[in-house]
Amino acid sequence: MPRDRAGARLVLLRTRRVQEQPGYWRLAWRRFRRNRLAVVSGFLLLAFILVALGGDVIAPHDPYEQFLRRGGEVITDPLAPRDDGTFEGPSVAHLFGTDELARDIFSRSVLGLRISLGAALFLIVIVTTVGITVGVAAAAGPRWGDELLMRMTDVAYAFPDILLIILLRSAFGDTILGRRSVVGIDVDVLLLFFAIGLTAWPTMARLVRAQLLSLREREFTTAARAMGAGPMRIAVTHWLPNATGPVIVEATFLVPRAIFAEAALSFIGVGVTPPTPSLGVLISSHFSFVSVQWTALAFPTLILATLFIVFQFFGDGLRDAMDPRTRR
Amino acid sequence: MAIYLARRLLWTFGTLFSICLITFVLMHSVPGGPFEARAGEQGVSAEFVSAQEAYYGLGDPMPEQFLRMLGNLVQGDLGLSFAQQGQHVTDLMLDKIKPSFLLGVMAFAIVVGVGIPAGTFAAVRRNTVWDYVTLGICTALAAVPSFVIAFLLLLTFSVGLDWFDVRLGRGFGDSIGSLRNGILPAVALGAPSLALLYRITRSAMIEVLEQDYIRTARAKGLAPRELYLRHALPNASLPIVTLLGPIFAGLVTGSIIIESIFGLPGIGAAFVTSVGQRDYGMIMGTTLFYATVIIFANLVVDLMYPVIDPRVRAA
Repeated sequence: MPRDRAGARLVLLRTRRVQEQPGYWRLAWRRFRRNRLAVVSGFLLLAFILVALGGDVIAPHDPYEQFLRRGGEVITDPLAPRDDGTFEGPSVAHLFGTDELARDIFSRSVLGLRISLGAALFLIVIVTTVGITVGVAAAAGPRWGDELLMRMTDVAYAFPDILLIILLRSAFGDTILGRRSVVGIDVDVLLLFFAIGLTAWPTMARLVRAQLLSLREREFTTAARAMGAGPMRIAVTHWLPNATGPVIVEATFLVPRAIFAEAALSFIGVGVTPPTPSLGVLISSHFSFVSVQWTALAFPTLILATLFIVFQFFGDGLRDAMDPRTRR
Repeated sequence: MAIYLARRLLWTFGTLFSICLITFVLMHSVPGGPFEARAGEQGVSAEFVSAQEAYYGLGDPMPEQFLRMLGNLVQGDLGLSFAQQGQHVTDLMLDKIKPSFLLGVMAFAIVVGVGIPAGTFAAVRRNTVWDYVTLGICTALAAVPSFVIAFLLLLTFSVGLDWFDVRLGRGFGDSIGSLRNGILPAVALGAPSLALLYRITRSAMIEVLEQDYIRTARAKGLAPRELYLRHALPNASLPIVTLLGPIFAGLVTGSIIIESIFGLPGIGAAFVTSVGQRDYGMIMGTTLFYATVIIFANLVVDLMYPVIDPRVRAA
């Protein structure tokens, strides 16, 4: 009797093991969960997104309101301490202090986070859409189409990024269909990230194409072809799901790159136009006043650096989890 | 091999032509012409503007203008600068390219000279204090925008320690001695690439060091120096070399921000100004110069592949 039970349990175990064969995503999730650095980054990222979404509730002040104190003496020495409300240090009323126009830097940073993250999301949508479309068309289409599309990516790849962005920024206006802002983000910010996206799609397209081509000689491709599936059907339903992991990883790494590009372009005056408080504008406009109030520069820079590190570790974690071949 | 090279070089012209066309369309769709922009200035009359525009043929149909420019380009002539009257764009550009190119090369030397040894070292001493310290430094270098790094360097070494002139840009590249002034800008310019190269070197080396032949080599008593430099590093070099092309191109063409913070009179700063002034010749010249650097940096890397890994055949 006990023997029978043991035997039955063994059978049960075996069948359960077969049933519970974890899929790709579950395995990836398990690997990701084990990576402590990536999990912590994931939580921080979530916190950033929540702050960006709930910005109206979290920001204590209007990001454009000036907290000037009138009646003080006019100060002629630019290095003398001021008491007109500008460049105040961190305090309870103004967590990150105030800027050169006595605006609350904390509230501006919260809005800046929303602008930068929102625009980066917009960029990801553009780059993945274009990249996947071109990559799939190149891998599954006729030979001449592949040749043509790849030559196009060559051109886009060789076009100097910053120059293209500056040219596009100058050629575009700052309205779309006569509107100055779309879903709360200024059009000039969106156009800037659109321009950055135009420089980023070739990498994505090449990645998708390479991923798909590596599947061309696999048995399941032959099986699908034998069952009469056309090249587009094979590419979209059989190949594309296998390329999801690398695409997600590449998209994750795009975000810090785009946010950095925005900061750099705003710094040389061809990015976002003040007073819109993108992170780049915050850093570059507080830059020249660092000797007056260094915290004004330090806080936005810290936010940017944290964002970068969080995305880096999160992306590393995703890559290790989703592509076991390229561990570390 | 020769056929492959010929095809690649031929296609280089195709790429440059496409870039030329795109740039032409884009720069002419920037509102306002080179002389309209100056119409408000003192001494610039409406007659002057229209006379200048007629002289440079700016009223002609766009295809005609494009073909004319292309014809001049083939002869290596970028025309006269609209902004700096009477000067040839080619002369202006050569002046500006020199400091930018020197700066890029210096930054590249720093990136390669520090990044690869540091990455190798970190991989060899994996999970020790050295590994964590270098990893921390490199992550910080990548996480802070290069203009903030530039500024901190300037504050520390020029203002605080007084090792360098604050106005570093003056006369950079004119003499050997002036190259010293390029150190800070080169470090700031190279910082993100340095971090990237470090990461790639480290992970490639870690992967190689886990291979069986490394264990064999170690077991037969090979000196660590030989082991790391002769057995491990060459086998880890493929991903490293792949990266060197884009890094070099990025350093030579990506110095706009660093130039503006250090006051270096380079080609990047000149480009930003020329877009503002609608100085078409300068815009076109800079774009083509940058594109050429990018194309050739990648071509050199592609040609290096079969040298590094005989399994890869170019054609």
